[in-house]
Amino acid sequence: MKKIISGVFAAVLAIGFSAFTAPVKKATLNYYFEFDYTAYSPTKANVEGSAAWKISTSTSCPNAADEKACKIEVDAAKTHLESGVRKINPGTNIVATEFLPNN
Amino acid sequence: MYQKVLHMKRTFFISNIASALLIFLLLYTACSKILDYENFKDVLGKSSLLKTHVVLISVTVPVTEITISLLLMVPKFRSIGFLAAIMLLCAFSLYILYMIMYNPSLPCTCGGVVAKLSWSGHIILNIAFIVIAVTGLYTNRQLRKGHQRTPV
Repeated sequence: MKKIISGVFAAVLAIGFSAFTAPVKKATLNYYFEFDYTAYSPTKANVEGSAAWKISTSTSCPNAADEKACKIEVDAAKTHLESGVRKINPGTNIVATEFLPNN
Repeated sequence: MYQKVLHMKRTFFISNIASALLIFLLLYTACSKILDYENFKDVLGKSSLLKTHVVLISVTVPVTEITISLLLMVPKFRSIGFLAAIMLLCAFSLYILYMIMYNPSLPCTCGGVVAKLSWSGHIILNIAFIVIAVTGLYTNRQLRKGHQRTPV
């Protein structure tokens, strides 16, 4: 019994301490933005620019073959209201991978 | 004879303390990873070395830590537990060295308050616990030899 008591005590301390220091999950508010195909062509540079994304009103993405850049989910902290319209903050880092089909 | 008894008591004490410290570290980090599992997986996914095996590693690491803790708790398997702890801590140290060289800006995948340490702080902590584990292994073996030599 003496041989295991220290181990059991350490285990109880560890579990208690980890529960005590566990991060509190905060509810995050996100917005969906869709790529504005009417104003911008879907190049890598445009996709990575915050101006090309408008607040999403549709529930699904367009079906056109070339329109790969579709919808992104953005943390509310990286958006702002401009004349009542929600926009992505300028300078927000959007990273896109360009799809290059094999020739 | 008295000195031998004193030596055995000291050895028993050091072995127990070493295993208790390791059990605390391993169980604490395992539970912290499990309690913040999604974040743990996210950070693993950002590492160029580990991103291809995120799910496997995110399950294997906490399970291994818990298994080693259980081995350390049972006196019969304590030597195996110490050996396994040394190997695990060496593997973690190699990963930390890799991160220092190639991805120093990424946060650590360690759980709980350990994640708040700098990379060099991590290395120091790991080395300290490797020393504790080696000491524990040595004293545990001394204890077992002492029990075997006890005359009937």
